[in-house]
Amino acid sequence: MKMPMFRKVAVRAAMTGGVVALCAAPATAYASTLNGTATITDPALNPLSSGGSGTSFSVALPAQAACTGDTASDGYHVFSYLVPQGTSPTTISFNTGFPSTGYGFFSSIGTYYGSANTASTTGQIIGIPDFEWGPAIHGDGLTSALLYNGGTSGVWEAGIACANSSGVVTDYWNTEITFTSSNTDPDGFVWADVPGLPTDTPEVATTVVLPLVGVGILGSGLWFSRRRSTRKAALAVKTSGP
Amino acid sequence: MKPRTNHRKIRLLMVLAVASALGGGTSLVVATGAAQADPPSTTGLVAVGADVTQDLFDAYTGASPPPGLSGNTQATTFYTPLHSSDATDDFTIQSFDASPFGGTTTAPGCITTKTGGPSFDRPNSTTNGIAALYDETVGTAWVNPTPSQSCTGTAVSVTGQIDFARAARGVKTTGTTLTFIPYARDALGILRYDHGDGVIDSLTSAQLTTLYTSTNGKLTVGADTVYACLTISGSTPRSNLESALGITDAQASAAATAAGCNNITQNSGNAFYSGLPSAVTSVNTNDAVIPISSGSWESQANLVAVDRSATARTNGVDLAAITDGSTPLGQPYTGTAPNEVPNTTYYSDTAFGYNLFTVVPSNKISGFTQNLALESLFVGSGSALCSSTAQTTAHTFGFDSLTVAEGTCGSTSATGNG
Repeated sequence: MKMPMFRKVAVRAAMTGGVVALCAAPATAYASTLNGTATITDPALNPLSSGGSGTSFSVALPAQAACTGDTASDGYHVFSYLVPQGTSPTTISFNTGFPSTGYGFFSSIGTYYGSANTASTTGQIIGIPDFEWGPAIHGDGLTSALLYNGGTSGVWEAGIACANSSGVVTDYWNTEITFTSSNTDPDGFVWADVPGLPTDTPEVATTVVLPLVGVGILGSGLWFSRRRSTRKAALAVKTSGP
Repeated sequence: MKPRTNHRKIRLLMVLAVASALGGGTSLVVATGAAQADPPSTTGLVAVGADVTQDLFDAYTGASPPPGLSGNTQATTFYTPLHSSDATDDFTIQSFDASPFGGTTTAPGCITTKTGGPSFDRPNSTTNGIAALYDETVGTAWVNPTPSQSCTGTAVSVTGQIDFARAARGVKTTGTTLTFIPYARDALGILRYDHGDGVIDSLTSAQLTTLYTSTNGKLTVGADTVYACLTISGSTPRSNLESALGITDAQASAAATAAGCNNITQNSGNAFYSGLPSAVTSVNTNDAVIPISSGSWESQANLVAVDRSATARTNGVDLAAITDGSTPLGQPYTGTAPNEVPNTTYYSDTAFGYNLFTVVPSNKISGFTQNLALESLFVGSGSALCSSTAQTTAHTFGFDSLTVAEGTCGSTSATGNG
């Protein structure tokens, strides 16, 4: 049966429009970054792979890392988190200004880092301060919780997250930190970190996914269209025979 | 052989596909954007709330009246800023007034308290300051409950934008979300205007109760008729008057409305004087009264606070002497401007005296979410606000230190949700 020309045009227009829409979507909103990489650094922003309870450190994110929305107009905020290995940061709620589970990064006086404002308009994450594990862990008696493997070690997902005005995580950048008990450290533990993602979860941003999905749809459409043309030609040869 | 038109269509679609892919790449660049040179957030802990203590907290931020106010002719006095301990990195405070300079609490406008933060309704009273802090703590968007006093017209998330509230009253709504920490003592003053005839220089609590529960908002005292005036809803002079007299807001509001003198900007002698009903200003035997913070009145008379009462004072407005039941309290202050000081007898009265508080989220003074700088500032008798330096400053602004009977400076035993 022959497909009317206007219908073919409509199908292709819809297909092309869908692709364009998929690709254009991130340009009109902020990109959501899930499973970005956070890197522990020293205060001068040089990568730092390990330290003790009193080691001052900061966290570096990829250049121009930004939340899906900004604070001033969209109600997004920046938080830190620290949850046991394997816990997805997207399961944390920040509705009360603090993580619903686990802990976070702490200042040298033991203050949790969170509810921080983004840059206006761009949603860029700005002004990440220096942190230190010892004061909060020691002051709040969290050492045994930190070293959850029989008091000898504990592996944690740590990082920076953005949450919308409902406290739902929309973006995060992760690093894995292993805390190990130590007889020489004043607070009884040391730490080592591996920048990056929770195990088995690739880093993918929607700005990459959506164009690829669009190209995939387009390719399928082209394949389908060419297959239909080939069949029609074969049918025409068959029916016009002697 | 394939039709030539098919090749053309395929080429066209391929171009579209490439363009779309490039579009996606472009969106990646646009989404992440160029670096923006916004400064990091300021580190001062942000206060909102009571107008009663807004001038005192201006002093605690370092200067009162704040320098640089357009149109201000008063000299600025500088103070050592209130700050947390060295061990907690010497955090200071940033205090946002309830009544903006040159403005009113009935049209308070908006504030932005931290870099990159939203613009939201300026909390224009103790009650609204506490409400905004509560919303910040539980993650609810905040808007002034009186639509005419809102500049946003819609609720705005204030997460991370407010650290504590100034309060000139204690807990009204039970709960545990907020902790009310006492630090000083104020008193309910009754500001009176009587054309200088002295008829209402002294009033009793019984007379005030009769006045503010009357249906016409008027009371005969000697040969004069006294009109009942009230400050805005939610303001502490209003709620403290009602507490002292044991009457409801509905009763007091009905009386003031009947007298044509309701919802006056609080703690402003000038607003009271300029808002007097014409029946009062035009007839010498008609007088009026309004509740006010004694400390705020004294600090204005002493010119250490922004003076919002100079015109009123010039025209004979002053605080009445009060007899509570059968106990004469005298005027709330002794001495003369600019050296007025609290009358301790008056301030220690259980009905007319009341404690001042800083209100903090309970989860910020305990557990891993605690903020040690906030605790250093306000929690415990050794806190910065309970120090002799801070208490001396409070005294300068017309507030007394707490006695044992009145409360313990820095105590965290009182919690509530509003």
